[in-house]
Amino acid sequence: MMVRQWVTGNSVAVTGSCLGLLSLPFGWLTLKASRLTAGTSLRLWDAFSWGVAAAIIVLWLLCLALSLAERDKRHAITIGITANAILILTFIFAGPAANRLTATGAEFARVSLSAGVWVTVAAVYMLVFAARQSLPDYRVWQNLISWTGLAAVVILLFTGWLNNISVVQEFLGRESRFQQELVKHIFLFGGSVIAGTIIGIPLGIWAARNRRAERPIFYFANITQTIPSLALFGLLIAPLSALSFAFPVLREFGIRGVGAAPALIALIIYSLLPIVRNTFVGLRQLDPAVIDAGLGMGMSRPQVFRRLEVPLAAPLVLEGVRTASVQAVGLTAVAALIGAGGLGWFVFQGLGQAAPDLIILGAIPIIVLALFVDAVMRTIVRVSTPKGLATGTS
Amino acid sequence: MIKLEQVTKKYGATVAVNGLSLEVNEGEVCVLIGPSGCGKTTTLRMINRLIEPTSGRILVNGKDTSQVKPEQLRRSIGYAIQSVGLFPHLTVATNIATVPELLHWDKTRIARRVEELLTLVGLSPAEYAGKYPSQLSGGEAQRIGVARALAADPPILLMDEPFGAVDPLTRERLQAQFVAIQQELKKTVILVTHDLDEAIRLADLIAIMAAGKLVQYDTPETTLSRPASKFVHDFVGSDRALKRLSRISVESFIKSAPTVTINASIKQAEAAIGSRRSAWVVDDKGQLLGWIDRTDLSQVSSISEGMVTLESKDIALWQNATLREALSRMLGQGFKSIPVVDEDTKLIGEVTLGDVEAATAEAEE
Amino acid sequence: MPDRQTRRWIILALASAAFIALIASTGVWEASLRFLFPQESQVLHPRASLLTLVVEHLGLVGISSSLTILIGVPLGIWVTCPGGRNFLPIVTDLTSFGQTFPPVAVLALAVPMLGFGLVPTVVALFLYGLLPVVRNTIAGLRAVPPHLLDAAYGMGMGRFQALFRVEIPLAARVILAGIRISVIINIGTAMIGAAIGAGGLGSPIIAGLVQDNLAYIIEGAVPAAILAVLADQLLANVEGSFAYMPEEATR
Repeated sequence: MMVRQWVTGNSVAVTGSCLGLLSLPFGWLTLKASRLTAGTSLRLWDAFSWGVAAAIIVLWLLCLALSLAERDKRHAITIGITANAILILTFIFAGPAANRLTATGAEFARVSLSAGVWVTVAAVYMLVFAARQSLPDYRVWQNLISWTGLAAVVILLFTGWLNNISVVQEFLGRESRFQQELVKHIFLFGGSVIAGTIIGIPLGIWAARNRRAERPIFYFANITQTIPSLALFGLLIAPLSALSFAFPVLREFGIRGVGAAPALIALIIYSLLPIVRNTFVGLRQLDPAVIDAGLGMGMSRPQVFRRLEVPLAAPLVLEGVRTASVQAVGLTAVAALIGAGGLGWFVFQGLGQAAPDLIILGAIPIIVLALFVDAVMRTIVRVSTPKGLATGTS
Repeated sequence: MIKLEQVTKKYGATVAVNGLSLEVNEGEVCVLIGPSGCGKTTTLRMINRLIEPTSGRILVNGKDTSQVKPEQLRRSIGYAIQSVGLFPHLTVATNIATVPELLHWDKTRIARRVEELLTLVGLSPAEYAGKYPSQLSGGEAQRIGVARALAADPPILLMDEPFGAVDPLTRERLQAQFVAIQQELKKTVILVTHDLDEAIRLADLIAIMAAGKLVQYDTPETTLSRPASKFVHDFVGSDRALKRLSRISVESFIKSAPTVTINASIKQAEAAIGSRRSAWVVDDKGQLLGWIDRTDLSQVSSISEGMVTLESKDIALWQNATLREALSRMLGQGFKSIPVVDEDTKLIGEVTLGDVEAATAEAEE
Repeated sequence: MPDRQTRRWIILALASAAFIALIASTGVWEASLRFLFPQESQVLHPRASLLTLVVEHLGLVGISSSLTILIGVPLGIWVTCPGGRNFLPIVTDLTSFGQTFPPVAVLALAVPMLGFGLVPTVVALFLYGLLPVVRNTIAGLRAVPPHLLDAAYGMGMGRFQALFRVEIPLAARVILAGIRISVIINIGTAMIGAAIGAGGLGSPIIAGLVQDNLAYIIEGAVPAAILAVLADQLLANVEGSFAYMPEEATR
């Protein structure tokens, strides 16, 4: 009987709280003699202080108690606030702890965040999610609970509070290079998605209008989407380098075996399938009666296209562009392997040097960029969906 | 007004429409009917050139349609279809405004027209203008479809099963409304249906088609009484007399009925019933509530105590209903007379079984 | 005349046999690569034979995808059952949120946490592969029309009987589509695993890029492309044999 009640209390929040408590025995910070050596890991109480550790434990226990007993809105809000507090506390104390440890350690000593912190972040996510779910009608609280902790961490990052954390140090040492590669990354994926859209939409329209074109277009798009990205990059290198050997003029335009040219071509090919498919589906799913009515009322073919087909298919087409964009952000990272640059450069440099911080410096921004692009495209899809259409299916 | 001369449409080897000639005069409703695949929809769509005939000529107002730009032609012909085809991304008002916009009417004129049309099809402009098609019921959507077809006040209206996709009750309402609107607007209408009752009810002329050919083109009365062939005879069925009742509105058969208001005294009620067996009971606004039997009057102290309550939408007829519906209600309820109400369910009078029988006998001749 | 489904299996079997014969014949590879790239002194990656590389690659994908299926499908079933329903929103949120993560970033992050070699690659492939499997399992089960479940319970089936006799068979196609997506992503991501020392078909490509040897690149890229297409066809065929539900709109 009791167990049943617990489970109905708020099982997601309970799991999150337990996960939070589970983070305690892990190492929270790792102290390394240099960026390449293995380090010693420090427990919560060694890394921060017994006081901070006690505060964090108490806060987790509070979360656990509240999630077991969750009854109303106030409980949920408290859970959300507490979770945010734990996150903020962790990072607030991580900064000075890193300062202290690097100051006392060797000359090139580094302090990095370790498993305990990551588990804490995951547990906070679960609690925040659970709290949001319990507050369906309170948009303000929902947003506050979702973003406060994250915003605080971002502020700490930008104010230099966390400057002695190893990843940040890695960034500070390469700030201009980072900006350069970020811009390159954006140009590569943005350019290829734009080109893919310009090619993909007409192909999709053609496939939707012409049954004979449909099969070969999709056959091509499906096969290319199946081929591993690294293999496709590789397959493009040979012919392109052969071309640049045969016609050295091309090299002046940057067309070589490795570099941006094969990357762009492969990225464009990859972005085709989602865009072509969604354009095709967008046009094919249109109610034939709508088109019939449009023609029957005296719209010309271009008018039917502009007034009916474009607005009705636009949300799906843009949804395809969204899928292609998010995918392209990740594939551009792979393109660094063939010398195209971009944020993947840090990842593969880091892998080559066995420097974990450098890997993270590449990987985390790639993820953030993907999430950002996803959010922007979702907004565009939402704005472009005509009001009369039921909310999209995604 | 509309004239088809030897129109043929072939798809490869199949002949969808075979040498069809047909003439519809101004202000007439011509219903194309026949089994599915008989070419009726193809015929309709050839008139506004959504389908081009293989051979033959179609004249609208004496002008060969093949000489007119299809868009131009279609903008002058209203078009309503079974699946309605309302544009889901546009509001009801913008949907209705489509053709006026294509014709570059000015904004105030369009707004006025939209309001007019919504009122015409019995939907409140304030409530409906801003709605989206997904927020409409099937019947409402069909009415908006008709309003949209009428938007630019085209002299001709093409309708492909415009009342097809709704439940029978709504369909009857929409048909009655169509009859009323048509009486007012006098459009030239070509309507496709597979429902013979609908055809008989709405048509001035019925064109029965089979396998792409016109097999009979006559008034409903003649079609029913003198089928031109075995096919037509089978098609219209053996209940022709009953079907003919669909042509006759109850309106001319409404008699004044004995009525008492709910608050009347027993004395007044007795006076109202007179020698009859019962009377309809209405409230002080005249809306039908039920009926009361004479024999019950002596045993009760007030009308409301002895009244049998009626659900007026189940029992009462609308004033635009047909004798066929009247008969069907009488048989269904076991009543010898049926009350008739107006749109506000106010009692207008009643129709009796005797009158329906007399009308049937008359139609039989 | 065999039906379409059988024909597809036959074509696939023939293509696979041809593929195996092709990768096993080192001589043919060496000769053709030498013909194509006369400027390279060495045309075959010295670390391992092509056959070994393919086996390594398949092993990598096989282990991680098996784990994915073994854990992902039950997880998806669990969150759609009354017992796990509380976790449905968060799992749905995680799978759609997680799919935004680029696979290469997930693979890269495995290194700081787990080090180099086979294990971090398998873990990363497993975790990333979970997303489409769980997502499609949920979507497939939820797409089972409620009236069919009603009918199942109405005939006296218990919860488990309804699950195994009605829900899972009807959702099978969508679940298999998820597995197919997952496996194809894994084959692609495993290529990059070579960069963290997991071996597989990515290693000649990466070696070729580092040593500027075009022949190595082609030696890795061509078999990888064919392997992915064959695996895709194989899974498409399996999926096709469960075609008693009309195709759902799943990505």
